[in-house]
This record gives sequence, structure tokens and C-alpha cells, in this order.
Amino acid sequence: MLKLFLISLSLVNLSFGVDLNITTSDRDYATTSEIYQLKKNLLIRKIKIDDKEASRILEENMILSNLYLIENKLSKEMKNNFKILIEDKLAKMLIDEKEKNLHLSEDVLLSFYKDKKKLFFSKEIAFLSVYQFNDFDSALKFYQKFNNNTKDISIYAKDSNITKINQELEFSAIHPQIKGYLKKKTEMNYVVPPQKWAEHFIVVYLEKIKKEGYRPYEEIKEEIKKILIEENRGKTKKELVSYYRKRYGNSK
Amino acid sequence: MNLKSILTLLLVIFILSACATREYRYTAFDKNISNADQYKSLIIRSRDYWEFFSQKNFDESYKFELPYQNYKHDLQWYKSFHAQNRKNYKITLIKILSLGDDIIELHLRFNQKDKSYVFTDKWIEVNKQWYHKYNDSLIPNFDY
Repeated sequence: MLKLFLISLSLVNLSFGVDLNITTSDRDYATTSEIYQLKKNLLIRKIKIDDKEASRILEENMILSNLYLIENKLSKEMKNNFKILIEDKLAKMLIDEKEKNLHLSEDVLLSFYKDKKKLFFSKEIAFLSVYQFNDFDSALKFYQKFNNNTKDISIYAKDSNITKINQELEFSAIHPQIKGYLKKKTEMNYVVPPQKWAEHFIVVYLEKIKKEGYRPYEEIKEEIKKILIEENRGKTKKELVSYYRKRYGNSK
Repeated sequence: MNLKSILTLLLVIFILSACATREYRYTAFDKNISNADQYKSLIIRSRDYWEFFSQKNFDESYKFELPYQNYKHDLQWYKSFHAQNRKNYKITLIKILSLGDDIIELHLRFNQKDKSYVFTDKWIEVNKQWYHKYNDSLIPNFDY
């Protein structure tokens, strides 16, 4: 990857195109900014090196990539592939940059929301906590304590012996064995008695139900912006290409 | 006949000819719609819209379209998309149907010498202004 990255850098030709050439240099190869960049890239992968080491890697990579180019003669196909990859990457970077700064007015976002409200309909969602036990007695003890107590689940959350899984499910998707106990959906903080579940026993706690309905506009504003920007990516591309042609002529 | 009379006569002829043209362009609205009072501002907006649209004055009708649709399609696209439309037809409002507080469906009749049919138009209120939704695809749209 690193090698590809370094070769890629050498491919970018500022005369509006991408070309692949062997790099020859009389200077000390690694500049301060290149060393800094390499260290930064490696740090993302949690690899820490000093300047000397970075400089050595950069120089070695330059020599090795040049050697590859000299000895293997990059095929036309590979050259084309590099060219396509880099141009694609740069184009995406440019579009991302432009899109990040796009401002969509309140009217644009709100009109989309009102017209496409169906897209933002959310079914009834149940927030469940499932406590898992290896034997029935433990499950029953937990259930009795839990059910008779204040139902403050936070005290049980601290118990590391209990396996707890939080789930957000569409109410209709809850297994019938559990759903049978949850008929009174309006009654929150409900605890389902121990159930045999595969190799285990479980106690299910219904924390709350989020009623079905349209998600509020304020909650999904950003989502709408993303949808519209995504849908209009073609338009953004066209505008940028047209801008480029106007400014720099038709040369590629 | 003095100059003043000639000028007055010319002015009258000009006004009358303008009225005659106006009548031809006029998009009539049925006044016997029961809930018309409730949607007065919408009816006026719809009338103005069709006044522009039926004359293929797309620079003006474009301003009535839903903001997000205008974000998707610029004026140039809008003009070319509607370039083949007919011109000089009459539109009559038949019915106003509420699809929610801020979404209204208008039932309208298209009238021209050789053609007459009923169609629906969707209007959405956004920040206290009514906007028209146009069909931006030649393929039938079923989420309308």
C-alpha cells in the first residue's frame, strides 16, 4: 500500500494530467514535509518511527520503485490502471471537498421532507434488554429480584456474571414467545419471566416502546442533505467539468 | 379629430386588444368550490403559476416549483424539459383535496380546442409559501 501510495504521488503531473515517470533525484530524497507525512500516515496505523527511520523508508521506496520501473517496464495496462485509480481518487476528493461546503437552504430541505415524508416513516420500535443465564434457578432468582424491586436496571448492569444484550427491534419482529408477554405494550419497564432459549435461559426487560410515526424533521435534516447531495452528484460533476473547461479551455 | 382624441382612441384600442389577448390567455377558475375560501392564497398562486406555465413563460413558473426540485434541476434543464409543451390552453380548477395540513391536491381541467382532460396537481406549503410539484420524469411516477 505504501509503495503504491508513493508511486501514486510521482504520477501526478501538474500539467493537467497523470503521467508515470521514473524519479531521479540528486538531492537528499526525503524532504521534511515528506517525512512528516509518512510519520503521520504510519501513526494512523499505530506505528511510530523517528525522522531518520522515515527518511530511510522513503529513500528505499524511491529506489525500489525506480528499480521496478527499470527492470520490469510497467506494462501499458498497469500504467492505465494507475492512471485510472489516481484520477478517480482525485476526482472524488475534489467532489467531496465541494460537497462538504455546499449549503442547502431550509426551504430545499423542508420541501424534500414534506414531499417525501413516506421515506421517513418509522415502525414501532421496542427497546429490550436480554439477560442470559446458564440455568433456570439463576434466571428465576434474577427475575424475582428484578421484578419485585425498583426495576432499576442499572444495579444489575454492574454484575459481570450476567450476560446482557441490548436490542432495538421493530415490535412486529419480536419472537412470538416473548411478544406474547408484551401485549400491554403501553406498560413500560415490563419484565418477561424466564424463558428457555436455545442452551440458555433468558429474562427480557422491555424498557420502552417508540411509537410508529414519521421521524421529526429536525432529527433527519442532515440525512436529507446527504440524500440530496448524493442524488445530485452528477450535477456537481458536470458543473465542475464545465467550470474547468471555461477556465482552462478544452485541453485535458 | 384633434391629436388628443387620436391618442385617447389609440390608448383605448391598445387596452382593448390587451384585454382580448388576456382573455385568450386567461386561466379560469370555477368559483363554486366549497372550500375555496380556505385556500384562497393557494388558488391565487396556482392561477398565477398556470398563467405563466400555459404561456411557456418558464422563467417565471420555475419560481413556483418546489425548492428541492429546483435544487435538482436548474432553469436551463427545466426549460428544455418543458420545451415541447402546448401553449395557450385554459386551466379550470375543479376540486381542492387536502392530503394533510400542508399538502394539497388540486384537480384541474386542461382545455384546448382539440383536447380536454382532468389532471391533478400537488402543492406543498413550505415556510408559509405554496410550491408546486412538477413531474420531472417522463416515466410515470407512482409515489405522487
